[in-house]
Amino acid sequence: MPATIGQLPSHLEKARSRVGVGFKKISNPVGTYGARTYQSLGYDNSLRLNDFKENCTLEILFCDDEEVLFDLVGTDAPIANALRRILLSEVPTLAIENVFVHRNTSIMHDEQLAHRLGLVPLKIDPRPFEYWEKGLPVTVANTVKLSLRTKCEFNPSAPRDGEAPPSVLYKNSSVLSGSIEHVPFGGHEQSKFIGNEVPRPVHEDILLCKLRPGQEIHVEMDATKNIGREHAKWSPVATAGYRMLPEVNLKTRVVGATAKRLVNLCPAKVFDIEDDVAVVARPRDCTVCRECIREPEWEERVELTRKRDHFIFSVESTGAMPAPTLVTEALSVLTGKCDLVLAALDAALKQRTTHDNGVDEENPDVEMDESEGS
Amino acid sequence: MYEDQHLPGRVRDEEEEMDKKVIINFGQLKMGRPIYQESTGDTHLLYPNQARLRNLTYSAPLYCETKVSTVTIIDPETGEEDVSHEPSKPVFMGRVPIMLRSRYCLLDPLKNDFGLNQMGECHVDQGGYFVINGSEKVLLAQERMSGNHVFVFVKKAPTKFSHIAEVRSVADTSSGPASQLQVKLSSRSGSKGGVTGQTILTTLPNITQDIPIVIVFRALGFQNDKEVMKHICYDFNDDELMTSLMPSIEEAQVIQDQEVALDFIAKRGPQQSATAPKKHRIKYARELLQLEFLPHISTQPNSELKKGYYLGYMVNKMLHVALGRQPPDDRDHYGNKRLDLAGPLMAGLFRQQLRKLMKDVRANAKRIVNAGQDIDLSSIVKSAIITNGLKYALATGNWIGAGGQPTKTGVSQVLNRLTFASSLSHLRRLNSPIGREGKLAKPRQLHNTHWGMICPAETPEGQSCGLVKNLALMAYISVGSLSRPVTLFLEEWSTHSLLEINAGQVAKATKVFVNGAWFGIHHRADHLAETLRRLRRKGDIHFEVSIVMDHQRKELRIYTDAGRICRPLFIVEQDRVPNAAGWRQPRLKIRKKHVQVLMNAQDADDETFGFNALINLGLIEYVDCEEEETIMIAMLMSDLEKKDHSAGYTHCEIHPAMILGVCGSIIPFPDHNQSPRNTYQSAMGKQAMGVYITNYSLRMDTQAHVLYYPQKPLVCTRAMEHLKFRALPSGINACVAIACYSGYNQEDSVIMSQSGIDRGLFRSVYFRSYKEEENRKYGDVKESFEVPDRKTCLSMKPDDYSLLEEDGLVPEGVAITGRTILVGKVQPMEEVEQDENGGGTRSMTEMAGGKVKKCVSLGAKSTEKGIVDKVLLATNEEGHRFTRVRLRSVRKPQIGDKFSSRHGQKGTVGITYRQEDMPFTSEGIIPDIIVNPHAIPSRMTIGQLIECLLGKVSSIRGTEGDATPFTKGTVEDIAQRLLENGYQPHGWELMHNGHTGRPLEAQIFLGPTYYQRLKHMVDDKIHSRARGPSTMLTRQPLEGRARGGGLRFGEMERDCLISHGGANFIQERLMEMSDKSRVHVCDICGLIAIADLTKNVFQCRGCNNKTRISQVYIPYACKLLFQELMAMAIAPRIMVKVED
Ligand code: SF4
Repeated sequence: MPATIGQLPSHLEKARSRVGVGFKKISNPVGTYGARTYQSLGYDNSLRLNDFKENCTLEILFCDDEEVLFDLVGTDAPIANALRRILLSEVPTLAIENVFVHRNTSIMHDEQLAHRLGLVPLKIDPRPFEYWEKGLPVTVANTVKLSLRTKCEFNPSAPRDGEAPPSVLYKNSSVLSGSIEHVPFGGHEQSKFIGNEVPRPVHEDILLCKLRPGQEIHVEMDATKNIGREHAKWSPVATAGYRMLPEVNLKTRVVGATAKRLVNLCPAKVFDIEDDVAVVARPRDCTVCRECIREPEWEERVELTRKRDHFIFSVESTGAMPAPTLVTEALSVLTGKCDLVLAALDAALKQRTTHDNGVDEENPDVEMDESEGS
Repeated sequence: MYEDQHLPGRVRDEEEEMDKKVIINFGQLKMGRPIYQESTGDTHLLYPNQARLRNLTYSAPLYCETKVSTVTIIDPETGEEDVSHEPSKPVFMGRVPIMLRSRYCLLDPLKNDFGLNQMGECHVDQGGYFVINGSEKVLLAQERMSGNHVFVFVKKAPTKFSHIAEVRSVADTSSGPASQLQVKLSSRSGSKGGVTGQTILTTLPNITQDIPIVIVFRALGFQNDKEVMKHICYDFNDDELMTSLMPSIEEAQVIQDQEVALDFIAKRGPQQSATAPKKHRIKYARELLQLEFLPHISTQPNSELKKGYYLGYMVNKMLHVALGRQPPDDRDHYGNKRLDLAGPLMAGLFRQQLRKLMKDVRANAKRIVNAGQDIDLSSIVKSAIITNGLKYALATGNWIGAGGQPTKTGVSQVLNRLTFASSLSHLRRLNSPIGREGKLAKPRQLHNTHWGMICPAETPEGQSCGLVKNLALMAYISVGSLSRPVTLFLEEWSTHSLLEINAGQVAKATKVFVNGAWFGIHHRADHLAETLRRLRRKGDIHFEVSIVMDHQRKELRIYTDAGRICRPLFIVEQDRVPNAAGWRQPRLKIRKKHVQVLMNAQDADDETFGFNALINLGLIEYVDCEEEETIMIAMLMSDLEKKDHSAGYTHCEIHPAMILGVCGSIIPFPDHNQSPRNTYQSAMGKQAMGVYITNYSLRMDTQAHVLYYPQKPLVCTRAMEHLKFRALPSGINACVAIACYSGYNQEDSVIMSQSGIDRGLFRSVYFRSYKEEENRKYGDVKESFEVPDRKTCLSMKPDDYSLLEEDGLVPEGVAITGRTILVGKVQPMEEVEQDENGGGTRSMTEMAGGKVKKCVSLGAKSTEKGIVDKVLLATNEEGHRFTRVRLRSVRKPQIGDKFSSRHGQKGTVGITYRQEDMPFTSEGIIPDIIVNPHAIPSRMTIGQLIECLLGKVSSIRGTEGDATPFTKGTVEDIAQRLLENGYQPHGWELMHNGHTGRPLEAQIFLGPTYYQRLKHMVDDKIHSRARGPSTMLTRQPLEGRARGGGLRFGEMERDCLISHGGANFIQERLMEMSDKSRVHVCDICGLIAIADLTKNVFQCRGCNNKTRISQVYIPYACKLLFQELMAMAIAPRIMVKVED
C-alpha cells in the first residue's frame, strides 16, 4: 500500500482502492493514479519503490504440477496483467513445428495431421534450448526430433460376427499421441538439452487420427522452441487469469426472513445466519454474480466491492512445465523486460549528459515506447 | 404404380386403298437395371457414383413388347383378310434417367449403410435427384392452378364483364393442354338487341365470339326455357336468381331449336367451319361440344345432359357470387393449387418423346413397307429419340410445353452441395412459374392455407421472393390414385347419378363432385362423408384421397388427383361416455401403447410399426388444404382438455414446429426472432460450410468446402434429428461476447480470437476440381494428354509445365500455385493447307517452323493455389480419355471472412486478437468472437440471446439445450438453471480488459453461440490491378477478377470527380490510363484521315488534302464509336482549331 500521510475520507478511499460493483454498472474500474490527486487533502498518492517492496506479496493458496492458485497483493492491474500476458504468450515451450510426411494414406490430409500434431503438448523442459526459426540449421540445441509410425490391420482374433467396435476389429484403428516417439540424434550432446527424461507428449491419449485396415501413417517431426505470440501451440498455459478479491459488506443488519432470503439468493453460499442475523461468512467464494443485489432494495443492504490491489491468480499449465515453474519463468521474463528498459533508460541518460545538459534532442517518447509491456 | 395407369400406345398404318396393312402394336413396357456399355463393348452395372465421376448419365434401358402384324386384303369386296402375326419381342426404346434411391435405382436394395458406403455413396444422402452427364439434377416441383375446378372471380369496374366463372378442363387420361371454358356476366350497362340487363355469355374453345349462355344450352339439347332455368337455378322459388337470369333468356328468344343453335355456334368458329355448308357446320359444332367442351366430364357422345348440368352449375355459382351470397374464389388459396413433381414432369416429357418416336416409326415403317421390304423393328425404333430427349430436358432444365403451352425453364437445377441442409432444402423446393417482373404482391404473400404446408420463413429475397417456396417438414404431395374405387363406393352408398334425377331435386340435396366432375347428388351427405372418412381410415380408400364436406355450398368434394399438398394430423375422437366433469372429452386416437411400440420400431417404413403403420391403423391421417378447412384442429394436446374450447375438435397438430421447412428448422428459438431474420438465416444456412456429405473424398465437385472441426450445436431443435444436422453439422459452438471492444467490430464486423484460429477454430478445406478430356475434333484428329515440348509445340503458355509427369498429368500431393499446368494436352495440327495460289500445298507444320502440335493444356486458375488432392483418369461416354484433377487448400479465418450466427446476424472479421489481448473473465475464459451490441436492438433477434444463455447452461451441465419453437420453457427457467450453477442468471460476466488488465466498466453478455462460417472469403475476392489485359474491341481494360480485369470507374465516380472539378484526373483515369489512342483528322472535313506513319504520309482523300492534317488523342472507344456511326451514314467530325 502506498504510504499514507493523513487519511482520506472513506468514500474517496473506497474509490481509490476498490472497484465498486453495482447491479447495473461497475464503478471506478480504473482508479486514481495521479501522485498529487489528493494533495489538497494532505494525502500522498505517489508510488514509492520501498513501499512497493514492502507491500507486494505473493501467497500461494494451492499448488500442484497442473495448476497454481495464488494471491498477488499490493500491486496494480498493469503489473498483474503483464504477468498474465507473459504467461499466455511469452514463456517459451517446445512444440512440433515441422512435419515430414513419408507416408499418409489415412483420410486425414497432411496439413490437418500436421496441425493436429503441432497442438500436442510435449513434456520437454524448454529452458536449455535455443530458439529456432526458418532458415536456421537444425541442431541438437534447437530441435527435438520425433516420429510417428503406425499401420492399421485386421485383428485376426476379433470376433467374426461383425458387431464388434472398430477398436476390437482392427489393430491400431486409433492413432493416439502416445505413439509419438523420440528420435535421438546428436549423440551424447543431446542429454545436455533434454536431460534424463525422454521427450514425450504430456498426454498419451490424445486422438490424432483414425485408421482402417491398410491405412498407414509415417511422419517425422521436429519440435522447436518458440513463444505463444508466434502461434498458440507454444503457449505454455491452458489459461491464466485473475480476479480481484471480492468484498461483501452488509450495510444494514439483515435479520429474520430477509436474512434467510439472502442466504438462498446467493448461489455461492457466501452468507450464513448467526443468531437470526445474516453474516458474510465466505466472501472469497463470491463470484460477483450480483444476484444478491438484483432486486432494487437489496443494493441498500449489500455492498459489493473488489479490492483493486489484490489479485487472485490462477494458472493452469498445459503440462510442459509445472505450473509454479511457469510463474517464476514468467517473472523472469518480466524482470528481463525491466532490465531492458533500465538499460535503455541508462543509455538515454548517458547520451543526454554527454550532449550538454538540458538540450533535449531525443524525443522522450522513444524511450517510453520501449517500456511497453512492463 | 404410375406406369400401370397408362394404356399401351398403338400406331396404325392405315392406307385405305392399299391391299396390305401393317399394324405395329406396342405392348407392355419393361425397365431394365441401370447398365452401361463401354466403348469396348463390355457391359456392366452402372452405379451412381461412377456416373458422377465419369460424366455419365445414370439411366436404365427401357424395352417395349412389340408385335408386328401384317393384314393382307384378299378380297376388297367382302373385306376378307389374311392376318399374319409375328411373335412379339422386346424392342429397345431408349434410356430413361433413374432417380437415385427410387425403386429402379441400384441403391434401393442396399438398405444398410455399409452397402451404400461400399458403392461410394453417403449413407445419409436421401437421393431424389438424377445424374445427368455427371451432374446431379433436381426437378423442382412446379406449382399450377388446379384443373377441373370452377373459379368465380369479380372483375374490376371498367371492364365489359362484372363476373367470370372459369374452368380449365382436363380429362383424366389426356395430356394435351387444358380446354378453357368461361362463363361471363356482362356489366350492368348497355341494352343491346332489345335486351336490357346483365346477360350471360360463354367463351367456348375454338370459337372466336362469345356465345349467349342459353344458346349453348339449346345446342346441348335443352330446348325450352324452363329446362334451361331448372338446370341453373334448381329452385323456381328463388326469385332473385330467376330474375337475374331473365335477360339471358330473352336474348336467346330468337333461337329455339338445337340445330339452329349449333349452327349459330359453328358460324362463329374458325374460317373453314364458318363458311362450310350447313350440314358440316352442325357436325362441327356437335363434335366441338363432344370433344372440346368440358372434356373432363366426358368425351363420349350422348353426354349432353351431364355437360348441361355442369354448365348450369357454373352459371349458378357465378350468379351466387354476383348476388353476394357467396364470396368469390381466392386465386391464392393453396387448395386451388397443384404441384407437379418429378413424376408428372417426367411422365409428360416421356409422353412427348414417345409421340415423337411413334411419328418417326410410322414414317420409317411406311417407307420400308412401300419399298416392299420386311420390317426390322430394332432399326425402325430409334432409341436416341427418347434417350436424348429426356437427357436434353434434364440437362438444360427446358421443359417444352405440351401443345402450345410455354416452355418452362429452370425446371431442373444442379443440386446444391454446399451444406447438407442446402441439399435437403433444394430437394423440397417449389417454383411458381409466374413472371418475376409482375408487381402483384398477392401471389408472393404468405397465405393462411400455407400453414403446415409451406415454410413461412424460407424464401429467397428479391425478385423471386414468395414465388420460390419450400415445403414444410411434414408436407406430403399426393401421388394420385384412380377415382374408380371412390365412385364405386359412392354408387354403393346411394348417390343418385345426374342421369336419373330431376334437376329440381338438386336444390334440396348435396352435390357430389369427384375430382371436379359432378358425379351426382346425395340426400344424406353428412353421413356419406363420415362413412367415406371411416373407409379411408380403415384403408379401404387410399389414404391420400381428400373428402371435403362443404356445408355452405352444399357440396361434397372428393379428390384423388396428384399434386395436392397434404400433411399428417393426429385424429381426435370424442369419448363415448362423459367424464367426471360431465362432458365428453375429445382424445387422440393414438395412445401410450402405440407410442411405446413406436419407440421400439427400427425405421419409419417399418410395416409392423412405423409411421406408415400409424396411418394404416387410422391414428394419423393426411389432410390436404381444402379438407383442412372443414375440420377443427387443436394446436396442442393440452387444448383438448380445456372444456370451453374442446367442443368440436376432430384433429390435433403433431407439433406446431412442423410448419417450418428444412432451413427454418435449424434456427433455435425462431419464435423469438423478428420474422425477416428467420428468412435471412434460411438463406444463409445454405452458404454455411460443414460436412456437406460423408463421401466428399470420393466425389469431384467443382467447388466444395469442408469444415475441419464441425460441432453439433449445443442448442438444438428436435427437427435436427431428422435433418441429420447432428451427423453433418455446419458450424461451431463459439464462445461469443456481445461487447464493444477496441472498435474493431463496428458495422457488423466481428473480432475473432487469433489463438482460437491457431488451434483450428473455423478452419476449413476448399476443394476445386478441374476437368479435361481428349476431344476428337474433326475426322481422326485426336488430342492427347502428354507433356508439351516447346520444340514441337505451338502456342505454349508462359506457365509452369515442370510438374507434369510422363502421362501429362500432375501427380497427387504436389503443391500448385496459379499459372501451373495441371493437365498437358496437345492437338496435332492439320497436315495440309491449301496455298493461296490454289495449286501448291504447304503443311501448317512448315509454316510454324517445324512445330507439329498445338498446346491446349489446362492450367490452374491464376488466383488459386493448393495441393493436388486427387487425379482421376477415365473414359467418358464417347470413349475418350478424360481426367479430373482436384486441388485442395486450407482456409484459415482471416480479416474479411464472413461468419454468421443462426439468426440472420452476419458479419465479417474486423480484426483478430491473440488470447492475451482478448477480454477475460475471472475464470480466464476469453471469447472466440466478439460481436457488437448494436447488432441486436434494431434487428430484434432475441432468439440469439436466448440461444446464448441456454448454450451456457448446456455447456456447464454437459447437456443439449432444446430450442424447438412453440414449446414450453422460458428465459426465467434458463436463468434459474444458470444461477443454480453459480453464474449470473442473465449470462453477464465481469470481464477484464486484455490490454490494460483493468475491469471493463460494462458487464459482458457471454456464452456459447453456434456460429457458421459462410463461403464468402476474402481470398476468393481480393483483387487489384496496375496494368493488365484489355478487350480487343474497345481496348479498355477487361472486367472481372478471374481475367485480371480493372476496377470499374463508373458513372457515379465520374460525377463525383466532375463535381470536384478534377478535370485532369478524369482525363488521366478515363483516357491516359485506359484506351488512349492517336488518330489523324483532316482539318477541312473533320473526318479521320489516312496516316502512314512509316512513310510520314497523311492525306484526306475526300478533301484531296495532304497538308492540313492534325494529330489528336482520343479514347479508342470514341474512335470506335465514330467509325460505327460512319457505318450508319452519320458523319461525326472533329474540328480542330489552333488557338493563337
Ligand atoms: S454477488 Fe453473487 S456470489 Fe457474491 S455474494 Fe452476491 S449473490 Fe453471492
